[in-house]
Amino acid sequence: MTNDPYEILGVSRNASPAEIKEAYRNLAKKYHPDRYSGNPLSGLAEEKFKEVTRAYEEIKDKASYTGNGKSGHAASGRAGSYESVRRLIAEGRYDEADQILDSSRDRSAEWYFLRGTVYLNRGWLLQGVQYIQTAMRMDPSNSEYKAAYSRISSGGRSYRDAGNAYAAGCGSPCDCCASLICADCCCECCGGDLIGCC
Amino acid sequence: MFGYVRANSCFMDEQDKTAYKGYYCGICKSMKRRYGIHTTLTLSYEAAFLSLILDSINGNSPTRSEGRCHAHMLKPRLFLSGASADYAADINVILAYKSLEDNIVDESPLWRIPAALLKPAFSSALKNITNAENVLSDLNGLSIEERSGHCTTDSAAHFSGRLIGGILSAQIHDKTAASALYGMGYQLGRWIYIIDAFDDLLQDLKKKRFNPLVSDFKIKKESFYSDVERMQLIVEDSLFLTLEHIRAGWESAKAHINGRIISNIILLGLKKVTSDTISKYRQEETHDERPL
Repeated sequence: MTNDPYEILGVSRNASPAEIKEAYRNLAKKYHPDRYSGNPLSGLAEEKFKEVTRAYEEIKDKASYTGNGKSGHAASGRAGSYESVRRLIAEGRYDEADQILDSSRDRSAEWYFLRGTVYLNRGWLLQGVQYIQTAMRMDPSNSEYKAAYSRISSGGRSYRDAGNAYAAGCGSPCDCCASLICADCCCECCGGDLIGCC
Repeated sequence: MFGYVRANSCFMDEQDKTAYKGYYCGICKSMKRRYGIHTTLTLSYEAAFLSLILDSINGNSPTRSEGRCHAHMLKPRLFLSGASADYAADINVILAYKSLEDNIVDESPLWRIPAALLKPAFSSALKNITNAENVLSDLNGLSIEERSGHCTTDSAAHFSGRLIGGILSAQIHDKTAASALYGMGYQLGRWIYIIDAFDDLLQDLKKKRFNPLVSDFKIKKESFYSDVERMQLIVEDSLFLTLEHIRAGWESAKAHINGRIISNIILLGLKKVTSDTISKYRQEETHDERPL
């Protein structure tokens, strides 16, 4: 276990801001809690994710590196407070992060991205998805937003895949008419046909 | 709010179908025995799901019996009864009564009649469960949030999530399993709320009833179909991500029995309801181009 932020990110001390950011992104993607939900390793991954984020923040603070990267959403003037928002998110302090975002007048792509991230982490997925989609629309070249959106779609995809695998394991379904009859049998029970469809 | 959590019986073998119906009928029998035959009209599939889950995680085998019932005089039925069926019956009665109360306010004072008929059962059911206070406070929280003026779909769905999370986990003895089920129930409650809001969207708009999706996505009567199209991808992405959380939550809980039936409900039943509901207005658009 090391405390050296450069070592944690696996970059040399002479690395350029772009290299540092790239290393951070790769590691953050690797350990992001969303990838491990329901996985026994989730605790460990979360620890790593926090460690990596802390290391990145530390290097940036030291170099007073502004960190908006080359994707070029021009400095919003709130960049400083967004660093603290990112830190709060990494530490799981979503309410505090949300408060800072709420009080900001900025509505840049980054603002939408961070707010979406807060909502997704809280489990408020409707607004979470909406904000991430908005950030991506505003800045389509930003790979961080794209990665966040692809985690959303891959979540839905793995659910659908699990369903297909389950259905495949059941053999072929009965034909359409028979299935309607089965469904109706269930509805009939107790005489209470509450569901409009059957 | 009811009827969305059900199995896709096309992909069920005979044994599972019988067990699934057995759970449903077991709850029906429990309601009839304890609260009167009229209360069985409120029975929903969510109650069967609840009873299946509780037996599955607690590892209790239900008591099996066979017999005829008022709805099926000719063919004998299997009843799977026990503490889980009784709890599911209690929860069903409580939620059905509260939903009638909402109807009185939102729709018509005529709903007072069925509500009055169900009231004695509601009062007894509250006494029969240990988590009545939490259930009532989450239901109350939901109705306050909906009337607050700053309600969003997510902020309202949050209370539905707490409600279902609490209901699913309250009777689970193992602490780790209870917390996994709370998380799964939270997302399931959110899913039910959002599916219901989407399902009722057009009706609510026509009847000027509250629906948080209307203000969240600025949906207007004049441009209903294009407004819905605009929100479609957001709703679809977020509902399927919600389902993935439910699936992962269920996978992390340890099922003793009923695993196949519950997986069918989570993986195929919820998926079908989601796809059907989301495409609901898309179909209407092709058939009916007239303005609302």
